[in-house]
Order: sequence, then structure tokens, then C-alpha cells
Amino acid sequence: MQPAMGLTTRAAVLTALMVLVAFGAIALALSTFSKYRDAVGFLADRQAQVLVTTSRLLQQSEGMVASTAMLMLAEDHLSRRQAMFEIADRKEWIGRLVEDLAELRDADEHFAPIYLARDRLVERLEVLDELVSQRINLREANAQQALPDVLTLARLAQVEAQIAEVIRTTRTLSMDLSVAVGYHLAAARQESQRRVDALAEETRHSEALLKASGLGVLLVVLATVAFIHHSVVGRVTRLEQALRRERPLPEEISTGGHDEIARMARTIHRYVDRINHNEQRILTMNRELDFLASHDGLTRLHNRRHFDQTVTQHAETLQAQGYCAAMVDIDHFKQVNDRHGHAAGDRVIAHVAGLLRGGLPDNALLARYGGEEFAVVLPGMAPAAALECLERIRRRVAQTPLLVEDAQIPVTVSIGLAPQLPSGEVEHCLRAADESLYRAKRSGRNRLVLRAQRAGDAMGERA
Amino acid sequence: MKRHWYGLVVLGLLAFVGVASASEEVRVELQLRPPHLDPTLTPSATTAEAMHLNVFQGLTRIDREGQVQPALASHWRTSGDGRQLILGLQPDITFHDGQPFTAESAAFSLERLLDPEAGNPQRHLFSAIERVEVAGPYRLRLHLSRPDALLPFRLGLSAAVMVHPYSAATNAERPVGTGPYRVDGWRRDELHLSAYPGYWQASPAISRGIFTFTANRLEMENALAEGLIDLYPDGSTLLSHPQLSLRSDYVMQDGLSEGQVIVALNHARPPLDDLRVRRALSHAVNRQALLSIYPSAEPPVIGSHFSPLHPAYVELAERYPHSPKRARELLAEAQAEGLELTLTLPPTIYAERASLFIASDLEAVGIRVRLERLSWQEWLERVFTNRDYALTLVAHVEPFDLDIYARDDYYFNYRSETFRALWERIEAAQEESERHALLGEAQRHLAEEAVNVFLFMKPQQAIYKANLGGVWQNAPIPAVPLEELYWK
Repeated sequence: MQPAMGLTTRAAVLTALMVLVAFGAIALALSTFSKYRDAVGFLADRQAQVLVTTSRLLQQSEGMVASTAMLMLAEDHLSRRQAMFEIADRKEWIGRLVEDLAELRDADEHFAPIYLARDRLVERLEVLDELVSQRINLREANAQQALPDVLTLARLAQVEAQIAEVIRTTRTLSMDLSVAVGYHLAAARQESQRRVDALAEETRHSEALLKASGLGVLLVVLATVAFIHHSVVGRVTRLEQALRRERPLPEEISTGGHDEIARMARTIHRYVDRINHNEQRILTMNRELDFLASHDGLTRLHNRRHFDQTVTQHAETLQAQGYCAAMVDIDHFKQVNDRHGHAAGDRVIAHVAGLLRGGLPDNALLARYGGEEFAVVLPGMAPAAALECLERIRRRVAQTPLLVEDAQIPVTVSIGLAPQLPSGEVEHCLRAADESLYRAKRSGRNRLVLRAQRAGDAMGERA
Repeated sequence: MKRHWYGLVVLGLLAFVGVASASEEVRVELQLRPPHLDPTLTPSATTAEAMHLNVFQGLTRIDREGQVQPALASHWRTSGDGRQLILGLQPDITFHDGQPFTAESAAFSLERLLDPEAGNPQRHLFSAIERVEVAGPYRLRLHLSRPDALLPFRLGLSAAVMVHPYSAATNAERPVGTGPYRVDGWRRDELHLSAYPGYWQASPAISRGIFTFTANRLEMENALAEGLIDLYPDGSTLLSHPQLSLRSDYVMQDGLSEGQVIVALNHARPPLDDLRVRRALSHAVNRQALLSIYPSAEPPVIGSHFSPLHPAYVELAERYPHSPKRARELLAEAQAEGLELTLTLPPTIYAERASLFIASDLEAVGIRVRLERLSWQEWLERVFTNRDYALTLVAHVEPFDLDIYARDDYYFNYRSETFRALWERIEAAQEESERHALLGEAQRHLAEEAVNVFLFMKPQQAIYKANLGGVWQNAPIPAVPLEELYWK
């Protein structure tokens, strides 16, 4: 396995990423809802409690005024005590409401003014209670007397004056209490508003985050699609296109990367490579076979069949431009074979073929015609030039012995040369050259015999 | 995101269920916050009101008509000589903690009730029980020292509720009973109860009960005005009574309780040990005028510590007619002129309202009165337990509790050999006619002795939401059985 990330791993990573982003978005949404719920719960529960508590507080502090009036107007002790009970109840409830408020608002620094105002007010009301009590007693005492008692009346007037004075102070203190409580009502309202604003802001923030998360999910999905298209579909398509050609080229198969597709591409690449290599070998072998069909394996010269075909094919051209034909035969070849072996004989044949090839012009037709016999057609060459060329080759052969295992094998050739016959046919000309070769052999070998023009040549008879 | 929507749907359903179950909740105002939640350890009726028949149950129960009905005991019979009470118990009942209710736990409860060390304030009511015998897994035999025809009734009182040995010691804080509701706990000053799923009888219609205890009259009237209270069993003396009776969402119901409202006198405080002074007080109070604290009820005035609903009742209301003149004469006789007394009040509305009249009446005969308001806890401690008071104004809501005058340890500090002997004879009386005759004698004795200033029977004017059904009209015992309530 490659250490690099495979397709599966990458797909898994992308899927995981997508799941992660999706879950992130869900978690965000849930947390937003949870926060929203908490905030709404807080507003509905605690802030509502704060508002209710402060409202009740305000109601009770204002109720103190009513209770004060009730106390002031009390005509008997029953009404007076009832008023004082009510005042005590209000005092006690205000105390508990303030405690509740302090607990609800997590603050206590501003509650002292309420307690202070309340206690001072109640203190004054207790004084008022005492004065009212005196007034009731004095009035009763007065009523029981037949004639108004001056002293009682004076005392009553004094008490009334004191009551008026106390009432004035209680009015101020009631105001102080209402103001102190009102401050908290306003503060509670403001806090509620702040909470609502903060909640709205947080909701907006969460909304933006949620949208971004949604976009993130979309991007990851798109990335996944692009990845699959690029890494899987695209590469498989290119691979398929490369393989669809009649002769797939390995260089067109992209083998980059380390994933499963790359490994498959490399396998296909190797396979295509091997197929192409084998095909090349078959072609080479075919070419070899083609060569051997028209050439002689030993001398790499054309063979007799190919020579005859070529001559026949180009007969008209040859006749038109004129030519000479020659037959070349290695002298005493049987003795070479016998003396030096067939391998040496083969080497002699190849040696002579090489010299012939080298000495003849490029347009000469040359073939191994028999065992140690070569046929030559020299197109467009006059008999004199042909004679000179072949004589040069004969001399060259005679002067170049073959070195075989430290032994020099002297090689000579006999050549029969025939110019174009009046009948013009190359076959006749070659036959005439063969006759000349025969004469050359008979004349002692290592020589060239040119066939002379004869009277019967025109009829094309046998020379 | 799909899962999320499922979540929302579930939340929605929960919200719906929440709304649905909220209507099965009832908020009951009891005014006096109980000192603790074990009705076997406190004379405070408010503990009984919240706990009895809701959390705790007895072997028998007293129904809304004051009749004895089977409860944890399905049946009972008295032996021929009246010296044994044999009870058959309901099987397959569990306490809220899963412990089974058996004859063993019943015997434990009764033995605990009888144990002087355990501190049950109503122990004396069960003094006839000599021995408790477990006669079978669900069979109990009570051996009595004398026949006691009232015993099945008394076993239905809150003092005789069944508890389990495992939880008895902690019932004051974490009550564990066999009733239809278990205690969820305190939230701020509210006591929360919820239906016990393993209840041995049909599930109640009300699944959650919340008891609130608002001592402050203004605060309570405010709560009623805001509709925060579903049921207040004792709305008789509310100043806002006329306004509330006009509201269509509230119903006022007239009823009587077994509570005698009295000005209790501390006989250990001179000159209250003087019969003339006590009689002067009885003459000084104008009972009829006092009844004006009830805007829409006319409870019977009483002259002794006895309910007019009882067949043995003797009319003694006019034994001490309102006469400031006679009162002054008696005080002069006792040389108690210029007397100064403190009237110590529990935080009940009827006590506060009545005290205003009592104070004026006493002042009218030359007694200087100081009113002292206490919290319920303070009252229980100072007045009831430590007997540190001169006068107090309270309702004795326990039914048929004449025996308290035969007790040395009661907060009146009243000691009378005559009455004690009388009470013994009452308890031993076999014949009903004899009993009734003796009870009449006992009433007369208390009236003659002017042991306390007997005022009137406490009205039980429940105020409750118009769509709440099943509210008790009378209060034969202090109890608010949530089990019997339902929303119409």
C-alpha cells in the first residue's frame, strides 16, 4: 500500500468533512434554539418575576399612603389598630418583596434606600398611631363631659397640630419610598429591554452563522462532486478514450498519482506496452521473412527468383536504355569446400559477393544465381564500360585472398559478359553471358570472356 | 437536518403535553406555613391540611360528612366485650419509597403513636389502646383497656396516619406515606406534590398539587385578586370577601369546621387564675358584634368547647351575655382594675380581625390591651409549647377534642381534678346516653369555670375557582384532599 491517501481514504475524508460540517450546523442550530429557549425562559420567568415584584412593591409603597389616610382618619381604636395591622403587613411584604428583588436581580447596593425610606415612614406612622390614639382618647373624654373642658380641648388642638406635622413628613417619606421603588421598576424594565436586544442580536449572529454553515455544507458537497468528477470520472474517461484507439499509445495513458485508479492505469500501461513490444517483434520477423524471400541468406544479395522477377518486371526499361549481362562463377570452389570445409566455402561466397557489391555501380542488378554463381545486369552500360568494371572486380578478387584461421585462401572468379542482343531479351543475354563464362572456364579460368556479336543474334537463336 | 426537525416535533409534542398537564395542577393556599411535614409530630393543623389524605393515610378515613370510612383497613369489628378492635388491612399497598404496607408497619405506626417519647401531640386520644398485636400479614388486633367506640373515628385523624419504620424518622422533611400524592419538595415557599404512580386506588384527576402559605393578608388578597390561587379553604375573614364574591371566576362556599374559636387564657398567669377575672372577660366580649368579621357567614356562637353539630351539644352561648357593666363589677371584685393584658396572635386573618374587636371590648371594661402578632412558628413555640403568653386567639380545629382540658401539659395550664374525673367517666361510659349526659356535664363545667372565652364555631368558607369541583363544604377534620378535586 502507498503511504499517500487512496481514493477510499479521500472519499472517506470528504464524507467525514461533510458530516462534520452538517453536524456542526445542526449543533449550531440546536445551541441557538437552546440559547433562545433559555433567554425566552429567563425573560418569561425571571424578568417577569422582577417586573411583577417591582410592580407589587410600587403598589405596596403607594398603598402606604392609603393606610396612612386610614390611620389618620381613625375615629376609634379598632380602626386605628386595623390601619396599623395593614401598615405592618405592608412593611413586612415590602421587606420580602425587596429581598425577592435583590435575589432576582443579583444586586443589593441600591436596596438600602427602600429599606431606609420604609423604616423611616413606618417609624413616623408609629408616632402618628400614638397621636391618633391620644386623639381618640381625648375626644372620648371630651364627649363624656357635660361641658367642654378647656384643658382637654387645648390638648386636642395640640395633638391635631402634631398629627398635621407628622402627616407632612409621612407624605415626603412616602414619596421617597415610591421614588426608591420606581427606580427599580425602571431598572427592571431597562434590563428586560437589554435582554430582548441582546437576544435579538445573538439570534441575528446565529442566523448568519447558520447561513455560513449551510454554505459550507454546499461547498463541501460541490467539492465532493468536483473531486469525484476529477479524480474518478475524468480519469476513467481519459483512460477509456486512450484504450479505445486501435493502437493504444502508452504515453497517452496517464499514470500519475498513487491512488487505486493510478495503479490500474499503470497496470494497463504495462499491458499496452507489452502488447506493442510483441507486435513490433512480429513486424520485425515479418520483415526478415520478406527479406529472405527475395534475398540469399548467406550473401544478403538478391536470390535468383527475385532477380528473375526484377528483370522480367523491368525488361522494357532495360531494353529501352540498353544493358549488359554477366555471369560470375568462383573458380575451383569444390576444392575450397573439400580443403577448408563448408564454412570456409560459405565465407568465400560471402567474400566474393561483398567484392561484387562493392565494385558494381549502384544501379546494377546483382543476385546469387546458383551455388557459387552470380548473375549481374548492368542497365545503361556499354559493353566496354561493363568489361572494364567487371575486369576490375576480377582483378580485385584475385588480389584479395580470404584469411581463414591463419590460412590464406586464394580466390579467383571467371566472368562471362554479354552485351544486349538484337532480340533485346535479358533472358537471351544472360544465356549468352553463361556461354561466355563457360568459355572463360575452358580457357583456364580467372578471366573474363566477352561474347562477340554474331550474325544469328538478330534472330535470337541460341548462341 | 431531518433529525433536527424530529427534535422540534418532539419538543412541540412535549410543549403540548406540558400545556395539557398544567390544567391538572391545582394551587391551594393554606396561609400558615407548617413547621414541618409530619402530622404525627405537630399540633399545627396546617401540616394535616397539606399532608393528611394526600401524602399520608390512616387505617380509617373521615369523609367530607364527618363519617368514618375504610382506608388502609378495609374492614374492622369490635369484640363482644368491646376490649378488642380487629382490623383487616388492604393488601398490595406500597409506600412512596416502594416499601410494602403490612400489619407490621401498621403496628409500628400505632406503637410509635402510643410511645410518649415519640411526641405525638394527640397521643392521649388513643390511650385506650393497651397493646397492638399483629394477627396476620394483613390483620391487626388492638387490645383495649376499656371499650372505645370513638377509636375507629380517631384512627382516621391525621395523628394516626400510617408510616414505615424506614422513613418515619425523616417524615418531617421527606414525608413518605401511602397516599395518592408524594412530596416533590419545596420550591421557594411552595410545597409541590405530584401523583404517586404506584397508588393503590384509582389515579386522581389532579396530577400536581402546589400548596402556598401566605401569612400576609394583603399579599394573599393580592394573589386571590390576580387569580393565582385555585383554592383557599378558609376565605371567610378576607377583607376583600365582598369583591371576591362578585367575581364570576371564583366561588364562595359556606361551610362549618369543627374548629372552636376561643380566646385562650393562660391559667398560670395571675390574675387569669381568678374565676371572677375570667368571667369578667367572658362578659366583656361582644360575640355577636365580633361576627361582623365574617361579611357573609353567621357561624354559631358557643359557650363552651363543643361543636353544636354534636348530638351531645348543650346550648351555653348565653351563659355570659355581653355586659361591660357586669365585667367591670367582676374585675372590681377581683381587685383587678387597671389590668393590662397582651393578646398574642397567630398570623391567621380571623385572629387578627377578631383581635381588633376583642381589644376594643376589653378596653371598654377598663383593661388595657396590647396586641402582639407572631409568625406561626413563633406562636407554636412561644404560646403552644412554652406557654409564654396571657391571652391568645386561636381556633381548635381538631374534632371532639374536649379531652385537652383534662391534660396537665396543655398550653392553657388549666388543672381541674373535677374535669379530669369527669373525662375518665366519659371515656369509660358504655352507653351513648350516659356518654352524652356526661359530655353535657363537661361542657357546663368548662362554661362555669370560664376556662377560656369561647367565641364561635369557625366558619369554613372555601373560596375556589368556579371550574374546580370536589371541594369539601365542611371541614370535619383539617384536610384538603386533592384526590377528590377535579377541573370541570
